[in-house]
Amino acid sequence: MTRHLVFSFFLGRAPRVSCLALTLGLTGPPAFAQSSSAGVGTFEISAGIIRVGQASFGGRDAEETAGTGTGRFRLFSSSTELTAVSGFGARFGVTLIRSLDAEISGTYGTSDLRTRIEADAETSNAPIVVMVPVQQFTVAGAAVWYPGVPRAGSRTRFFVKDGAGLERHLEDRGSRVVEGRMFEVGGGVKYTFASRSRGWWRGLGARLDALALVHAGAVAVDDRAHVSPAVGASVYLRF
Amino acid sequence: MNAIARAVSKNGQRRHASVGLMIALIFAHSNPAAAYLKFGVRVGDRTVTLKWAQTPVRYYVSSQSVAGVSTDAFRTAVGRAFATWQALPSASITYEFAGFTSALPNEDDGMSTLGFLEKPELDRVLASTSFLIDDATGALIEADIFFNSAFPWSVAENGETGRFDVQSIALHEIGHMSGLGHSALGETELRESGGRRVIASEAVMFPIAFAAGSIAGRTPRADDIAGMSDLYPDGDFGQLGSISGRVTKDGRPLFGAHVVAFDPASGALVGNFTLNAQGQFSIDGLSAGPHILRVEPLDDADIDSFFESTRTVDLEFRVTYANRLIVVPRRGDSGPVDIEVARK
Repeated sequence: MTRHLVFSFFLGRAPRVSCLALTLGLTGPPAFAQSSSAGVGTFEISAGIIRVGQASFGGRDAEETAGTGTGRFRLFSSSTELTAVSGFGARFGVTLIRSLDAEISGTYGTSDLRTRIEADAETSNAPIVVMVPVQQFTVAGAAVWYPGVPRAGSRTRFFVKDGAGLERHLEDRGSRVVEGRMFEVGGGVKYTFASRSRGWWRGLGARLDALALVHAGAVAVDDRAHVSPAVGASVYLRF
Repeated sequence: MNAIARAVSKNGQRRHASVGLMIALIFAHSNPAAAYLKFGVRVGDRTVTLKWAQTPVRYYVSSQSVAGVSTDAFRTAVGRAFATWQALPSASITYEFAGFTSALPNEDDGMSTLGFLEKPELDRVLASTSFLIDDATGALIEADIFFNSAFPWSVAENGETGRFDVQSIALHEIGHMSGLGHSALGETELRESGGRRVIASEAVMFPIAFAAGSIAGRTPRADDIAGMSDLYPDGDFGQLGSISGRVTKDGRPLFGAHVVAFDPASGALVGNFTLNAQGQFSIDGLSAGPHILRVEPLDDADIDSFFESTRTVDLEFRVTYANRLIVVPRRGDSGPVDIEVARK
């Protein structure tokens, strides 16, 4: 399988976002030397932890053809989900214009693919749960837009984020590797601990992200897209 | 009429001493990496999987008709069944109609012949396949299929109430003719009057037919496709994976346990058995991805539909699932899966 970074979503929205951001930039205050806003062309790296909520893949019965030749007979039922992912991640971003960053990110996390089996036609056993460990890697590109105009001296800055990427799952410690697409939309806040206008670094702070992740493919046992909530907390350093 | 079983080919062992050919033994057999119960022939110290060395397999149709089924209609119906197996994209076997013949099935004439025989004494046998095998090499020379004209038959496109569908039964017997044994993917219940009634089945190769009038047996299921593709692999069959492992009870290996792999992504069910003294099994032809593994006793058909009558098969254990999801890798094996079953 060939891995492709999916940018179509980002490219489809970028011109409108850029245009809006440019307008805001032109009409905003001229300078924020001590604020948490960043200068065009500066870079930011961040690292932290992530938590992605579970994704339910729904149920699938093990069925046989009924003896009459029509209809189905349920041998047992199964329902499968990917449990919540816990892990860590890192980002690299660059400020394109004052209100817009472009960033790429990568994450690693672990979870379980978990299946509940019940209603076996030949036993009265209690439902059982079987699972297999899953490692998740993601790589994504996103546009980060800072709406509104930051107040001078403000340490907080809110943002909205919209991106797309790939997720790669390793089932059972690599017995099988599968890939899927991922889209993310959401927002967050940055809080600046310290900033300066000179020196090799320009800002240090913390960042909280709250996103909705739309997944398709990878370990999903159905063909549908699934939405999972995701949160992240990280520290950043701006250069 | 009682439940009707389709006999396995081992009941049709034949000898042909005049040309030095003899069936040594046909029995249920599976290689270490196998997708199905297959027939094996002992040749000296070796076990040879029973299959056609050359294709297309040429077959003749006996020019005997029965009430409601003309010779031409019979030939057309069995031709559709042959075409169904031949159309499997992951299997390479092909068949060729060689013509009508006045010969009857079960004659040792070097021709694989399909036709009707009147066998009222076989009151639970709808049809049967028999083989002629070179006992020196294990090569399959001839396979005949007889349909028991003691039963009512139909070749109607949509089936016919009270009559057994020629195409469905032919599909099962052609599976045997090609080397497949029986599948245990089905559920039955005993009738008070004897025999078994099918509650459900998910394999054309299940040994007990659907009720008369049904045409559900015209379509191979995942289990059948895996079996035929394992015998005659083609296309992307080599991209598929397998699950192998071992079943024990009280710490001791279990022979004849039915192990079924279920793919929650596709809904496919593919099964096999533990087939040696170590209680090992292997299920091949599985799509890559997580599978649920279920072990059950062989209690839905007569044991001699699957194994030699001399084998002891333990039925006294409960349905058990593997305690984890089993991931099938692409073109590889899951690695050993050990399942301990509990007494009933």
